[in-house]
Amino acid sequence: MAPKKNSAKRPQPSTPKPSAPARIVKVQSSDGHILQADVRALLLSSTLAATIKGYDDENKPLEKLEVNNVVGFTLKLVLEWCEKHKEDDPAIAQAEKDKKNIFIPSWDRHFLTKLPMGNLFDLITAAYHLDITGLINYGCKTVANSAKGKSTEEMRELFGIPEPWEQPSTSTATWDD
Amino acid sequence: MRKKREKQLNKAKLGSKEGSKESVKGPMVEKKKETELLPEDKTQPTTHSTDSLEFMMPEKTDLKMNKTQPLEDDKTKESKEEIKGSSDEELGEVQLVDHDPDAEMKKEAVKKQAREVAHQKQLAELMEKSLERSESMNPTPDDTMKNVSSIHNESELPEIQKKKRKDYELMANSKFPLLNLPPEIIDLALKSMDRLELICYSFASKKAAKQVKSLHVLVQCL
Repeated sequence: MAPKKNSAKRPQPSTPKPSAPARIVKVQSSDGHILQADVRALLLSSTLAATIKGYDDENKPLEKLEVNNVVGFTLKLVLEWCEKHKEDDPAIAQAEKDKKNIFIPSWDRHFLTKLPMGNLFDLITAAYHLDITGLINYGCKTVANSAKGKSTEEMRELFGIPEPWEQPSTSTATWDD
Repeated sequence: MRKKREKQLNKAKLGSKEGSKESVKGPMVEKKKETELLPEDKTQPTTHSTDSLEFMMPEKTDLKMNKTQPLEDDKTKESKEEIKGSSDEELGEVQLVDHDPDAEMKKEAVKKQAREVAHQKQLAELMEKSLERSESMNPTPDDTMKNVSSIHNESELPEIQKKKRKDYELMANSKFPLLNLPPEIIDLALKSMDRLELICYSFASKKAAKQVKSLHVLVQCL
């Protein structure tokens, strides 16, 4: 059996870690919505992981985490993705960051492509604020895939780029500059 | 002496004759004056309602006749009636035309045409109403076939294709404001694009061209 070509590109399935007792934490969004999530899922976010680590170091009871940059609907999507990937190793996503060709698993592809572009934008922005590398990678790859086969005019329409004559001319620079 | 007396008598006779002549000429002068004043009477309001000059003619004739021939009143009255009758005939358009023997035939023909037009209009209205009723009661077979075919086509599509179509519609309808993302994320998204898409994107705007330039992508061959 010859190994498949794409097998090297695909991320290795996360090895099952020894089962630890589930630790549920409340997360509050910027608009006041309170959601519940597993701590292991929250550790995918570098920002939240640092906050949780600070609580653990001080031996304080972690009751509620406040996320001021993300609204309730988007936070729900982020936690859904994190819940699905809570078994994944964050190092793998970090290694994929510099790669050009990122393979998107089927669940993630379906999860990201079903979203409207506006919600996808909010999700990527939230992932950037919470520093979730895997979600950023898949989100950016989804955006790149959406531009496939499109002309300049279509891309301009998709990405909301104004026409050249509509842009305010801040300088006298020309195309040759 | 006798001759002198005869001359005086002759003079007296002659004077009396001249007086009589003068007495005879007096009314003639007055008549002339009246004739000179006649035009002023024309301007005065008359009993007749019309203003035409032709209608004023009988008055003139009356006056002249009264002045010149006061004894011939009966004749003037007759002539006056004749003149009035002729003026009435001249004024009325219908009265000027003689009795047309074909007028009744013409009227009947016009009435027949009007009846035919009205009958045709009624028939057309009835036809339209009957058509509308038939359409409302029995829909045309073409419409039913269209509906059946559309339902059949929709049922043939699998659910996965329907979902894909919905997803595609959602993706196509909304916009992704790429330039509002943080620069690191834009770079990451552009890096995962192919060369052709990068070139197309670089043509979108000056800012996009700068972003693509900053990636330092080497294009060895296309």
